[in-house]
Amino acid sequence: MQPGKNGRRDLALLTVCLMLALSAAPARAQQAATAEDIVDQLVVLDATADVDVAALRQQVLDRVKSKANAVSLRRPPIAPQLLKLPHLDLDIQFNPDSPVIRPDSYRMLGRVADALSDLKLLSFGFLIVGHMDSTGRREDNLTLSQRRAESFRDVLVTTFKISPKRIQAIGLGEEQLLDAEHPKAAVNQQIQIVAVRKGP
Amino acid sequence: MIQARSFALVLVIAATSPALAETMSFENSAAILGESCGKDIDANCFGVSFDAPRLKECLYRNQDSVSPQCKANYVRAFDAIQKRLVARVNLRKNCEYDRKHFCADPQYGYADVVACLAKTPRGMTLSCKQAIGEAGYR
Repeated sequence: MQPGKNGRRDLALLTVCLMLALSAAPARAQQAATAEDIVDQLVVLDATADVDVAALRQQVLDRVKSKANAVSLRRPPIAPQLLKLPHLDLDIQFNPDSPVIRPDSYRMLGRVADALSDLKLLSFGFLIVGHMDSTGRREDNLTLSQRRAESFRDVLVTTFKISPKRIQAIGLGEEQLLDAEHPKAAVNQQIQIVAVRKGP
Repeated sequence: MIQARSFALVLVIAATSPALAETMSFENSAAILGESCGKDIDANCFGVSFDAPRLKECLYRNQDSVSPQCKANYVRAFDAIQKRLVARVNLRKNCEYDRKHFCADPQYGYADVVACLAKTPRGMTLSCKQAIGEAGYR
């Protein structure tokens, strides 16, 4: 081993130690404060759910194109079946009008990657769902939410090597408002992870 | 010699705290990158997503203008992610003997085998023990 390598390694370990110590204090106050929290919330799926992503994508597109449910206030969710499955809302920051995830959210991406590669979840499949608030054009929101959900999935697959067979992505635009009483509220811009498959 | 020394180091660390024998979690690696290089990514690589090879290449290409803090950390962060991924890929090979001898239940899927090995069965090989730690499955 080269001289100094031990030192660098020790320093790296020390950094990890400090970070763990710092992050341990407020843990579990928030919904997804640790990778273990994410695992715990998703592992409760009873059985594989019957979710046809292609059909759902078409259904959302049809609703937006037909201008049905034009008023965004209290707009009914397009896919209520997803809300019954174990899921987690993540506040992921993107560049404006772009599917590129901001560096502030890298930590959360890593946390999700840790959770999805946890042994308890290795046989599970997930749906990444993109949501937008109702600011701007409805069609644009649908497109952007789809691109953002795909971008989130792509990082998990390319950088953290989560099997692409385990994660699908869909954008629901402003058709599944998380706070339907306040359609323009920023809280509606979320990335959701839904557990949909259990077992091979 | 090299292996003996690394092993000795692992032992020392393992004796003080078992968690330290592991590689860095994806969360910590990603956090180091985001926190050390956030401003540099905005300034030099805006529009490049967190796609490891592309982002690394962009930071490398712009290393004359990236901050010292980022320069000191980005390679380490990407290497830590890579190290854990490689350990996971090599787990099967490094633990083949152990799987056959200690965790050979025909009902077991991959996750069951790893969970069984992570309990460190008596007589487990050092290479497998180390592989489990590096893969972050302890």
